[in-house]
Amino acid sequence: MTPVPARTLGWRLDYAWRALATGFCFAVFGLVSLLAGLTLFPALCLPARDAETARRRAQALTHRWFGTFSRLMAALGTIRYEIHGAERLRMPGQMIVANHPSLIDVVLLLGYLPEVDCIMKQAIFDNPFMKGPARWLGYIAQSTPEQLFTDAHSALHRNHSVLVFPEGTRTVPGQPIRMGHGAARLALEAKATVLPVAIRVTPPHLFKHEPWWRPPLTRPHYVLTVGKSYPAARFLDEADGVPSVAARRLSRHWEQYFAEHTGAAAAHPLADPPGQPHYSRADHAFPRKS
Amino acid sequence: MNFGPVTPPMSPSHDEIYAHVRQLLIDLFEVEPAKIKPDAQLNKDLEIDSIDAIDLVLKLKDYTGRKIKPEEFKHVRTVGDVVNTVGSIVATSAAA
Repeated sequence: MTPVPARTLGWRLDYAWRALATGFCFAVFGLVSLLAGLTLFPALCLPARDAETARRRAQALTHRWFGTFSRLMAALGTIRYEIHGAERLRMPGQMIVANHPSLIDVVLLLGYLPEVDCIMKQAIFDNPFMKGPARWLGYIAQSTPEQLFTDAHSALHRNHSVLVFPEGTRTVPGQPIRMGHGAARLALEAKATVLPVAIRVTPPHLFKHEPWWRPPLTRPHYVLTVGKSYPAARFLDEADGVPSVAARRLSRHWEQYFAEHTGAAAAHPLADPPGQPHYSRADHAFPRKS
Repeated sequence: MNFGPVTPPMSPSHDEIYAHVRQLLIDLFEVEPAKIKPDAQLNKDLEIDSIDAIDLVLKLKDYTGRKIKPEEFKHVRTVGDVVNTVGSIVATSAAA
């Protein structure tokens, strides 16, 4: 839990500045992404000799832009961030599995990932601003389970890394991390190499339903910890080859792993020692005169 | 070869279907036996999501010996719903 700062004039100025700077950053993000979608993406991708080259260029562009954007957010004082084990992200053909506490965690992560196919909600492909870039990037839509499996399988088969947030949506602070069995099924079916990335942000920032203009009381600090990779098939062997059992165990393993490495509440309290609660409403009380 | 009147297949009773579904949940998903009750919700209480349900329906297809359309399981929420749905599938295929 973050200590509640004293409501000094300095703190008030910092708070207002962070709210303002976040708004500015988001405006820049929207504008640049829109312009890039109309100019840079087509300029780089249309002359490409094949879809694979176009995809690689689009992903490299996104990687650079997201890295720059992360530095901008940090330079303006809205966030702090650090990453451990970033070099392990660059190995191709891995299934990168991360928890999803914040709107911008994927931006921070892609700043370290020059090439990756992201699995994204169908809604993003239906969004008029996003669908152009998402196509150039060769990202994978979560339309039907069959389509998703086919696309993700073929991406891994072509030795692309695939990024997935098995929670499917952002974590609600204070709630346990819950992961459906879809991502685990995919990992098992594709016999993927799994690389876990635990994302911790204290205090919680830009979580579900939290607007950008209400930043936390202290500057949020992101810590991205890249774990060690392992073959998903291990779980299949341990479950005597029964995929439904293996998927359940792998999902549960992830829930525990990410709870342990991010301080989120454990989904299965019996399996985990009770920890310090990671979140308190006090971190987010809107500042008022005391 | 017997072209005479077909004897209707033995229809399992409600309790037999329940026992079978219960065993499937344990074998397929390692659901704790104590959690399996007729009113237990598949998704909330037993953590069986839509992808898991595909496996369950496939196994139930083997059990009933009849193709099961996904629509038939659309409104299934609880273990009791599964048993009732299987019951009605067995009853209609026995009548056919």
